[in-house]
Amino acid sequence: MSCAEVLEAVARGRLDDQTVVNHLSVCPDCRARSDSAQLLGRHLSDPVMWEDPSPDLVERVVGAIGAETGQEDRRPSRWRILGAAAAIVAVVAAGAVWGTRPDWTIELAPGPAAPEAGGIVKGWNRAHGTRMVLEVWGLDPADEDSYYEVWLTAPDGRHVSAGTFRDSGRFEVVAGVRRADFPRIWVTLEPTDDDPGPTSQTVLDLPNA
Amino acid sequence: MDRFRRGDHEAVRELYGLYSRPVFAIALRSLGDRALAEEVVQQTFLNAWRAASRFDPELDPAPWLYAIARRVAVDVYRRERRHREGRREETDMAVLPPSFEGLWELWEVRAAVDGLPEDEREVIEATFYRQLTHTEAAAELGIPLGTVKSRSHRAFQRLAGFLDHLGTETA
Repeated sequence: MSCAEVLEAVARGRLDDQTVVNHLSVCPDCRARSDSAQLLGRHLSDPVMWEDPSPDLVERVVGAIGAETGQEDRRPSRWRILGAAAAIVAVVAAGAVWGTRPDWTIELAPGPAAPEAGGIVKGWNRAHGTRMVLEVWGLDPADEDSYYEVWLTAPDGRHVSAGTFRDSGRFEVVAGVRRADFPRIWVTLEPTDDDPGPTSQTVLDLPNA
Repeated sequence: MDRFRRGDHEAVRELYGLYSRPVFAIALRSLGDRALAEEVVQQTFLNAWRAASRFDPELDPAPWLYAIARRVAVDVYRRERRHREGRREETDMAVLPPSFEGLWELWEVRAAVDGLPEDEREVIEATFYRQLTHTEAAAELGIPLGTVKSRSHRAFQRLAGFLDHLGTETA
């Protein structure tokens, strides 16, 4: 039996095999490596070693990075001015499907500026913020000089933008704040200007906001 | 790495192809949940991309990615624990559970297994993970017994190259 065969046998747990015992008794190299061989065997027998991530995960990774790289070009000018992007991690038109059950789901009611609109937000509380998937319907496409903007607002009135979109649909947005601290989620119609705050044109809001 | 830094989609896929499974393995080992492990994989590559400008492209990216992945896994673990137990963030500095030990070793073995030729990998998977005998593996894989043995032997010779690294992990 060669050294490699002995170490393979050790990794497979055949420590009582007389051939293995005999070899180890006369081979200091294999004796020195037998603990590591057993460790390797344990790893190779571990189900975790043989699990693969979901096949679609690569596209989610590419999409998440692409959303950040593309954001520089697509972001309205006022984002560059305000640096408010510190609070925004990513905005991407979503086909994203999160494999996990959301931590919370809320329904958005129509605001004064869009009485036919509606929406549902599913949220995942993350270590560094909040991921949300919005389903929005009943909104007219924004014209060239405007866009819809998703806001998270704290009880003390601080606003953080979670992203922008231009039409009804499904969107994934990621905000760098926690929903527990910024409980109000709402959507406004914004002109393309340098005003950092939300306008009064609310199109979607929490039902009792 | 320059292409990855620029967000080139193919470069992202290449790096993902090389390292996503070790990242996933350590995340699954430490957190015990596939969905959370996938979250760790995604966040790891996103964080790596954000930090890529500070990474020396002459260096091996594996330890760098490992450090990022482990940190993300710790963050996710603590968040989940807070969520589960209603703890406040400032009280959340407790010692990590044993599932966080030996992760670099797991990373190395997983990377070594991924580096095996597919025909050798499937023999190792059948005989170690599924605990089939060589004879059972031959029947299962539809190949001669001698082929199972030779592939197993070749694969283990490759993996044995990692033996000297094992047991020294301190991360």
